[in-house]
Amino acid sequence: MKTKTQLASALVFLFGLLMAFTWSDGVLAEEGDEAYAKGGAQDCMECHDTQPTTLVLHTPHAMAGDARTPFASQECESCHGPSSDHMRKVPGELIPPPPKVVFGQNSITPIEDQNEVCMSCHEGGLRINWTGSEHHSGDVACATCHTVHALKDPVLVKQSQDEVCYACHVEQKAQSFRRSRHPIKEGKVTCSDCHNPHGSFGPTLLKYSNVNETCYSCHTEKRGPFLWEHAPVRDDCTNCHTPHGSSQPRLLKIRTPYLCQQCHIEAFHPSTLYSGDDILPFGAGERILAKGCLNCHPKVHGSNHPGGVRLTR
Amino acid sequence: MIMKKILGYLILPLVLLFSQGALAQDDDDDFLLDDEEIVEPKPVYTSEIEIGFGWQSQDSFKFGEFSGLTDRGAFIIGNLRISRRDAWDSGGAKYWTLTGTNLGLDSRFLGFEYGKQGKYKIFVSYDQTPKNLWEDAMTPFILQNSGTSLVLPAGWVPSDREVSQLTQLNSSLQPIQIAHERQKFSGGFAWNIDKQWTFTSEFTRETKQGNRTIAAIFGSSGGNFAGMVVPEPVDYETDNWNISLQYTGKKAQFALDYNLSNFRNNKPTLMFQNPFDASSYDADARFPDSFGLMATAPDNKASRVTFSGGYTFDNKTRGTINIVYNHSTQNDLFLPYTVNPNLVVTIPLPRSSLMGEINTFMANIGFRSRVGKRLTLGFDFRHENRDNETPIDVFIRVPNDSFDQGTLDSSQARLNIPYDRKQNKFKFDIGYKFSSDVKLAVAYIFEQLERTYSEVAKTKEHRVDAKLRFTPTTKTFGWFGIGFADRNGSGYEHNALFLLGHTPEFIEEEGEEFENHPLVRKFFIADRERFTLNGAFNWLPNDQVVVGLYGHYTKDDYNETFLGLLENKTASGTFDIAYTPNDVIGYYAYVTFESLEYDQASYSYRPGNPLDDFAARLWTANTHDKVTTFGVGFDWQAIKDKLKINADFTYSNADTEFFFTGGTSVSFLQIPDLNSKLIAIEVKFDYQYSNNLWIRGRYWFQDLNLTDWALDGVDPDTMRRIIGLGNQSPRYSVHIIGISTIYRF
Repeated sequence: MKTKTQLASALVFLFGLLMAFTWSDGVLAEEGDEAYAKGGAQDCMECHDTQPTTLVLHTPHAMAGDARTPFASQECESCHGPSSDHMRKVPGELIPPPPKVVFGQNSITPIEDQNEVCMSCHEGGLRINWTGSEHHSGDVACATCHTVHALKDPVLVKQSQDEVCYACHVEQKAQSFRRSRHPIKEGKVTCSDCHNPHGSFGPTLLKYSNVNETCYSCHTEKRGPFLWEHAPVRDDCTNCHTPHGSSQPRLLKIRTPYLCQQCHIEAFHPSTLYSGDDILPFGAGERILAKGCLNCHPKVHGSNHPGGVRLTR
Repeated sequence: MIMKKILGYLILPLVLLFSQGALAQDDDDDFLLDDEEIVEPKPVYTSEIEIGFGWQSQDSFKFGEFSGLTDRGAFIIGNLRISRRDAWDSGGAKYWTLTGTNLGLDSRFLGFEYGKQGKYKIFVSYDQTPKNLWEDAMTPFILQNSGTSLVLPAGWVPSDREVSQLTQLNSSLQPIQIAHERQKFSGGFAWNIDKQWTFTSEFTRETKQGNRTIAAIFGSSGGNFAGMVVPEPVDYETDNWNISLQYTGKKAQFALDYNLSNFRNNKPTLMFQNPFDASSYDADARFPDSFGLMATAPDNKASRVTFSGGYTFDNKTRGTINIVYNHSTQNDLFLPYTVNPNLVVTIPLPRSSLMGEINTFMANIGFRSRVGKRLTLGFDFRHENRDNETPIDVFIRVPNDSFDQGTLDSSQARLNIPYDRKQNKFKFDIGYKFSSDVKLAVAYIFEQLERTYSEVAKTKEHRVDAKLRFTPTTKTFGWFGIGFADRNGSGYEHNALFLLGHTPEFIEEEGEEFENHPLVRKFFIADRERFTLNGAFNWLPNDQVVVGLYGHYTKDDYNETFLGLLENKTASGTFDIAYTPNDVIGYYAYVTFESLEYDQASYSYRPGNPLDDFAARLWTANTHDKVTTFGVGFDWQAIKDKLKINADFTYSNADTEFFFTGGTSVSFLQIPDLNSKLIAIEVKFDYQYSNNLWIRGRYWFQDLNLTDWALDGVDPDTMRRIIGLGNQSPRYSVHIIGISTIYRF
């Protein structure tokens, strides 16, 4: 009953918010009457007639039949800005002045102005929290990661997204070569499966609200709740695991028994030092070899057996 | 006949490739065109089909861990992307795309999307991902009932908990591969109601089938256990349904999402025969009639409602809000206390199922405003309340199907603890632009965490971060960050969980006050000082060279901890360089060093006085991962628009070092390092044979060498009380060649 009331209250509240947002939305800004090329894209392609520039004509951005797209209005200049000056020869100059907006991390157009062009259409959905996000405040241009003049933007392709991210996040690239890792190289898990690079409401740009919800999106069997819970597991998966790659098995930060012994210092075996005399050829300790502590306590993520309090069943 | 044609189609271009050198050279001359000469635009091919074959030199489960390239021999290369869309200026907006990758492997993907852009789209996909664990495992158990029941072979001779005395073990071992596979079917649609409103619905069913490894033990404590590592069947199904309504306006945007995730385990139990005849166990808990029963992952459900919105008040101020309500339940029927009918169970289960429920409510509110041209102010608030409403009861354990049930005043009587957590977090940040070249950002963050069932009821952390961005010249830019955080708890009640988890009758009867040592401070709730330094610097000496330097250092100092994790340091440094002398070739190289170090202390003790002989029983362990990764490669257009070659070389070496110290009563030896070394070479070429026919060749080499004392030489009968699987460290040296033709249209 309590849950239903909570759920109903939440829905009513959300509906109210939804109405408030819609009602308060302003009238769409009108474009200023600046000098656009008379011939639209055809004028641009008088000069820019080679690939990859022309590839944009085969992408979702260039679809005049879709009223939302740049090519339904000012075509190339919807993004590059009114640039009729760019098409005029300037006496004494070998090259014309640049278009109003030139995209790229090292472009002459300030990054803020470039991104404003993109966000004028794309501020919804996953990009709602772009303003103030790590990449926004780090002056990352949309065009640093996105390639609009490509048949398929590499950052939107599972097999190539990692290389786009690794261009800056080299440490994570190095971690992807560890013995224990996620299938990122194979394109089966992408950076954006866990992270929202456009700004998130969770920690470390996570796509979901917290670490555990993010992990549960694939590892649903670990979601529980369980009868016998393991406090650090319910608290945060990264208490024990490191997601980008580990030299230890199962993406562990450090291996058992030492990981477990950072919290468990009980009489007898949990407080015993397992060392060189417990491994071959000097010994064969079942608390350090094979799965370590998990040789007896396999249900570290939680047990639902009524006798599983010690996470053995 | 058809096969011959296909082979001819594949091989002929390959032969011609090498005979075309002169022709290619001639083609090169064509590029010496007069500026006035009209160049025919290259045709645009939006679709391609790639088909070919590859050959792998060696079997390796680990190499094909996620790709499915596990077996020596030939495999099929198959990829496609067929895309059609209305011409941009036709007024139409219809399109469809068919995408397939790795179609000849177990890591295949196939997806189809059709839509009218700006109106609607429908999409379906299939995705398969293997996960190989161990190819060399062995077990004496015979798998029955689809692996949910493990029985010993006829003639099995038990021992009294000594694995080495299991005389039939080695002769009974059967090889078993440990692996599972995910298969995901997705489908859905999106409907653009108008220019601003979009409704999306997607359904996904993911299955995960195969096996993994799990320990199955008997006995009641660390003093009388015996068991084995066995294959656990995996047969999971997760349905995921997501619906979303999005509004994207100029000033306001929002998304309202509902997500339902339903996890089912089709094999919820694992039963295993007891291979031991332990005299210390109950007489009815010995071979051959004794079995153990384990609960595998229980079914669960979660539904989540999310609202995210943003509103731009003017061009300078924006506010965002995010509200999430998540309801997770789990109500699987409990297994009996024991599967052994001869063990005495006098007190029944307090309820038949968990009735587990976690409700999480989260709200995030943020405001960001630009004040003038130089100053930016921001504020964020986050509240998260994870309320675990699972009922609490006393469960009196039958220890691992080995003894009669305990009593209410014994340590076997335990109360379940539904951990709660409440977080409140505030962040204030200020950004100041001193000039277009120098920007400073400073943030203050306060975080308070409350936990209902914990040694620490409340922790508070104050954190300050500062980041300076600078562009001293047009050729250089970088940033430097520094941060300090101080976390303090409301007091550490070392036996809080002990008292919550045991019955008052037991505590009164035994007079025990703790289980974990009173001086332990668990690292995730302990007082902590964190110091971070990070930075990056990029230098573009000329148009052809980009040099980058990145680094970070974090030190966590658990300054009030005497036993447990004392200190954790992570550091990394990266140097990378890219050199592009012309538009024909580009080189890159990088090297990364990483260091992860953990210092912990413990006290080896027996029940009684927890400070007895303290200095002599104190020990410390230092664990240090040192990793070096080096990569170099090039991207070369060997013949303009005809032949492209790229190559990558990667070397990664990871060492884990241990160093122990101990008092006079602690017996120990230093332990060897662990090592993992990977060498990878990948060379690929793409050659345009004719207008729309390409040939792709690929050579791939990977060499992995692992040294791990936890696995190397550890046979099923090596450990004293646990029958192992005998799986060894994976090592491989695999060469792969592939040749394929790509038809573009």
